[in-house]
Amino acid sequence: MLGQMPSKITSLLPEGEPNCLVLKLRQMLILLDCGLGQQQLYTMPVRRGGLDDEQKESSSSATLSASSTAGAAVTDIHNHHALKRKHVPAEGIDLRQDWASFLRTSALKSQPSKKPRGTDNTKTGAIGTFGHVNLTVDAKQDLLAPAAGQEYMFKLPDFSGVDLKSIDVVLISNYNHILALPYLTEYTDFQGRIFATEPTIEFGRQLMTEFVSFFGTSIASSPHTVIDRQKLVAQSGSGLYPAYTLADVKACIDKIQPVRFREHIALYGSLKLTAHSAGYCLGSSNWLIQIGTENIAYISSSSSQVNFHPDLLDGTLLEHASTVIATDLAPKGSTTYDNGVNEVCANIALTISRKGNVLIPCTISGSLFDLLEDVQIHMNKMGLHHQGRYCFVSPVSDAALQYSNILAEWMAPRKQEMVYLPEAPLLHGILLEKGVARSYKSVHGAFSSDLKLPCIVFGGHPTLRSGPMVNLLHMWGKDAKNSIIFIDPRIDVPESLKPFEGLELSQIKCPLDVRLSIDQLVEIMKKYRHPKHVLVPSRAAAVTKADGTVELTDSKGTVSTSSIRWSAYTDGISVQLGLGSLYETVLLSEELAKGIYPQSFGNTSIAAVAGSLSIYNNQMQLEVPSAAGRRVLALHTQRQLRGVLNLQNLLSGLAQIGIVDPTVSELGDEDKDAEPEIKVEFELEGLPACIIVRERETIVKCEESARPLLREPILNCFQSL
Amino acid sequence: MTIQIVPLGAGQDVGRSCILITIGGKNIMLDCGMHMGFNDERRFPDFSYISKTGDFTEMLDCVIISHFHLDHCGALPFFTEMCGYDGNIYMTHPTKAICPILLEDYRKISVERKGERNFFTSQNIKDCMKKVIAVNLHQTIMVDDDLEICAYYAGHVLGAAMFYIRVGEESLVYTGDYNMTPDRHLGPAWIDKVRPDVLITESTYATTIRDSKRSRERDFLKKVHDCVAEGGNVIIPVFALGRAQELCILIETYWERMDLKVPIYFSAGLTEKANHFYRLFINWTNEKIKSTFVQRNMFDFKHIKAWDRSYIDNPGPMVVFATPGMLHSGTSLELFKKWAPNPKNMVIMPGYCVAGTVGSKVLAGEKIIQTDAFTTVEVNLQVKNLSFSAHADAKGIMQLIRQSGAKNVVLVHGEKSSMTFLKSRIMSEFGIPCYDPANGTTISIETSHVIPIEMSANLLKKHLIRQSEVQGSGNEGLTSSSSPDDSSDDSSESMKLKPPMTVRPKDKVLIQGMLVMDDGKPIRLEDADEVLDKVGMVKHKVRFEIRKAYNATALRLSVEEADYYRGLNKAGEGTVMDTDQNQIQAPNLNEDWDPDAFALDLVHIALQRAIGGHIKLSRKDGVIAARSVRIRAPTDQDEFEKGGLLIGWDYEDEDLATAILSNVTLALTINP
Repeated sequence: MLGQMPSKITSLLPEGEPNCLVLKLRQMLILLDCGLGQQQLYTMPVRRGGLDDEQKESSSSATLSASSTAGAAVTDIHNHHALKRKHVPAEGIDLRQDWASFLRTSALKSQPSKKPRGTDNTKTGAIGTFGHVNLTVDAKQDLLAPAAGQEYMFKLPDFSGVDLKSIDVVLISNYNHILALPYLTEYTDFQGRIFATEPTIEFGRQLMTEFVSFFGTSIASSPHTVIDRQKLVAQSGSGLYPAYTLADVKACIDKIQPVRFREHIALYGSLKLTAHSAGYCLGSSNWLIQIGTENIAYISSSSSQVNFHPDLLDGTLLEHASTVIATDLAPKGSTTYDNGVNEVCANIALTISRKGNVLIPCTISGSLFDLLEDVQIHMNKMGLHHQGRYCFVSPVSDAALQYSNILAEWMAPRKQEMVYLPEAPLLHGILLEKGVARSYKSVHGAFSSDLKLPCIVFGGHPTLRSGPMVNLLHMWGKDAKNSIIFIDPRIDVPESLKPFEGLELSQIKCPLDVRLSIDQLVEIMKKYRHPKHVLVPSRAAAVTKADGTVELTDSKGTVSTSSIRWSAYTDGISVQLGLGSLYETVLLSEELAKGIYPQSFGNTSIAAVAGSLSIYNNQMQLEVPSAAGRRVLALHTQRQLRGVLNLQNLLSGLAQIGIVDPTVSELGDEDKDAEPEIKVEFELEGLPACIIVRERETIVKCEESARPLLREPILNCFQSL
Repeated sequence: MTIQIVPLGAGQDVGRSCILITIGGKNIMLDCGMHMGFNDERRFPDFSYISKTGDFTEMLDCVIISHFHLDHCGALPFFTEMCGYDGNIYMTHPTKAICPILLEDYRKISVERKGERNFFTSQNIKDCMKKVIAVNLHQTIMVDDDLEICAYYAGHVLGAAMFYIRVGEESLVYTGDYNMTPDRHLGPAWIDKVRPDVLITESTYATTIRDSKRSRERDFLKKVHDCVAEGGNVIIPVFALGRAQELCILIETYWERMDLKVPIYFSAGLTEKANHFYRLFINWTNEKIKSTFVQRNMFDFKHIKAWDRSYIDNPGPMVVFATPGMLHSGTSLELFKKWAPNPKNMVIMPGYCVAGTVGSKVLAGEKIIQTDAFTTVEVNLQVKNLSFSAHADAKGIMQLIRQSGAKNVVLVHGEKSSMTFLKSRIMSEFGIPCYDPANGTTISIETSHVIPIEMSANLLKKHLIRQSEVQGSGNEGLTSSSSPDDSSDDSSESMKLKPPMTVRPKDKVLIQGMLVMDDGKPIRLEDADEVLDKVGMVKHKVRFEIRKAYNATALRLSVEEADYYRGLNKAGEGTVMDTDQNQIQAPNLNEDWDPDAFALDLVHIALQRAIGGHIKLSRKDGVIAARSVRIRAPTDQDEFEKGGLLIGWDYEDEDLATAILSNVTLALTINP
């Protein structure tokens, strides 16, 4: 019921993980983001290669066309596989490249083959020699030895206390916090609506696709994956899920309604949602959630940097908000972005100049596009721009790189201007065009045939549990000339590298964190009209007091002021939100307003109003009631009588209707317990009647027939409304 | 409140779109186009209508441009740089990118070819574009504190938009040009159900029911195909942007489908750049192009190659897109001169040509054309004219009216005769007013004015509970009291104990409250008692207690009589009698009969029926209660005479008491 239920917020994932919060706001249940915990990946085994589309496709086509070179069993599997994927359009260019690489590798194979080294590989498909590096392509190894029963199993955010069916709305702020969404939409009875900006949907789709490719079901498992997977879920018993499938991804993505910044969404009559630019990545948003006159700002990953490519942080949503929920802040004491970038550039230059290769495990999105520009400038400065080649390796790199460059409208003004020239707003567009940068689906096929060393490779999964980086690390990890640079601030570097032994390459940790720090958040709060209540993750707050309020220690000391109340939240514990004013916005129709005559009391005017409230155009509107409605309203009407009765007025009023000689007696004076009262007795039309007057009360006793006569003189003594 | 609309151009006409609107005290110019058919001052809209003194910036709150066609934006540099308008201009990103190129093309023809003076310069165009604020689709832009605009996809050309304009509670939609059916590279127009007070829509194809674009395209392609199959050359004079890309896609896809090898060339150096615009704005094309662009960008043409002058002597056949579009200079003229004498060749004119250009002469069907002072060309080749502009047909216009939920429709950008036809159709089909103002005539449209207020959530809750309670318990009460052995006093008590039903969404909730208007604060609707207490007025309770006299004996007789007749009826025709009457137990004549209790029974049933659905009624210890109203039999302490019911109520329930009294009177009236 309106205004009765306490509003509260609960975080379902621990701090440092992606966001997933449940907001109970009056009658609405809103899920803020739907991230998948990443820490669990560190406990998982490493999968070589990564099973991705191109690999499957290229391998199968290659094997089909030249089946004599491969075993019959392999052909069978691939045939089966190729048939299954019949409807997928063949990608001409890719295939051609794959052909080239296939022919080359088979040509090499016919030469006296060298003994495979560096891996536990016994069925090496092909060995290529490029420059001084022995490159082992072990595609078929992965295909032939699928990890049956070795599914990756994932723990979802803690939905235990949430009735998923009753979730009304899911708001996604950026692609980092979307990975658990297919579980919600495809595996539960969730039936709410989902909103995200267009780029978030597209990058989210890419990230999910990558996730499926890295951690998804291995090829050899039954084609009836759905049955399999449900059994797996049941078997796990502890709420562990295998990775979803591409079909799930598509179904999930189709359920998301795209929005743009500052597009007003009105739902269920009273709920209003607006995405505002967060400045963190393309399409990253913060959300303003309004119910009635209550406003809550959800601040997700945000950045106040002004020289990045995404549209700038739009803080105006804070002007309206009475409560602010801040998430995904940069951890305390993290290096500034600029310092981080300089270090990354310096290390890349250093590695390239000693003819080493650079591995940068990251997703092809977000601040990478800015980093690339800085790296290119630095390489130019160092005169190395002819030496290093950029490689993007991910099943979705092509889509990510191309898609990002058509999103000028979601970029900072500086970048927006470039499309009027017209030029690709992001540098990688030009690099790809010139061939300085190349994009590959995996390290197999075209990547190996094109490879020119030294190169800088972006892509893979930052946790190094699957994907191309695993292969490259095996390939280049033993060479001290190479280096691996960790730029993702959310990554635990020692944990990532734990499964890899005997690595010689230099390992550099340069987290590039563009997210808001707590200090920056405080500054932003000061800049915009002070909200009443700000919730921050508990680790961001220095001291959490017993009553849940927070003492923040920014560089200037405590910042809790009278106008801003800071409090902290931790995962799993719900925090009550202070309620703002409890009002709903309603439209008063012109027709109804015309019949309203206000009475003034000092500065305030008041007017009684009775109408019929309907939901119209997602707005509550108060209109003139129908005839039937008016009759019902009459029954409910509560008349107002205000003032103090003056006996003289009453008597003169009575005199006017012909009662000239009533008996007036005062009672109650002698009895102190009873309220003093005056009794006026008289006869009206031959029947007795009396009026008892007390300080706050008047009682009229008479025959029914006398009522109409007595009404006027009595009511005239008061102010009625 | 009124919304005023004056078309300065495009009123009962196509071309020179420029519509002034006044909404909620804001003046807005919608489009600022030029007329291609005129060379004099009629080319531009008559801006003196806005202001005689030229203080346009003062007068207008903003200018909105719907898309890049010159009949919608052609006068913009003139208005901003030469008339001095310096306020906000809004258009979408693609429009902002492409519009200056078209303006520059147009300027070149007018100034460099026709030697016109007093025309805007290249610098003017650049300066003008600097003032433009680019908008995204669906993004709500606050022009100032009161005026908000929001763009919707219009599908007419790349970046074409419809604009939703709102001031307070008044709103208007201007469609610009739009197309409701998806096209080769664009999606269909779409708008939220914004329920604008006024929809200003184009009506180019007002009388066309089915857009024959597809079949025209097919004809066109067939003609081109036939021509090249015969070994002829096809020249298509175009400007670098806009229609050129539409035609390129058309021909490219045809060539691909038919597997044709005949070369296609595109002449201008601009081509790459122009296509690049389309590539960067791929988000504005249709879903199909968008979803496949990573694999294959529709605007990376495979069959269309860059033109080189040396190709002119190639034996052919070939298809050449050549700039400029009006055959007045450059490659297109050069090729035309060479190919015109051969009847096997073909020229396709996809756009409008300014009078006096070679293009316009070709269109006029002249056989001998003087291209300059020294040269005449004999025109033998086939001439085709073809416009590919995508507009909504009558069905599409009706669809948009329905989709937006418009309350009034204004037709612009169409022929007068077809507008009249569409107008009557809109009025009969939707029952809403429809206008087709001529240029310079003002129309005023009354809008209903709603006032936003803030309603106390507690007040709403109170009413929702009240409504759900009586709806839940009211019916229950009736059924339980209809069982004969349960008409005793505590029968209605049970319904009081029933938990209130859950609040379901109601269509309508009846609300009573007190409006509070404090200076500078939003108007609030609060609970009346709370407000009056706050205002500091002393509440005074007035209680009426009256005796309602009735004739007990006569009443009893009449009921018995009724029972008798009912018995007759039952025995006779078996008619089902009014069930409510059955509830009353026939009084036992032999016992000591209490007329007051009997009267109370009658009254209770009558009230259940009349108001029980809206008001909670209870009956306990011989008292019927509804809010402060109490109905009971008199006791010995009362000073009243016997033979009547006592009815008391507080004055605040006066209206309820009046309703109850009249029902009591009816119930106790002897009605044989």
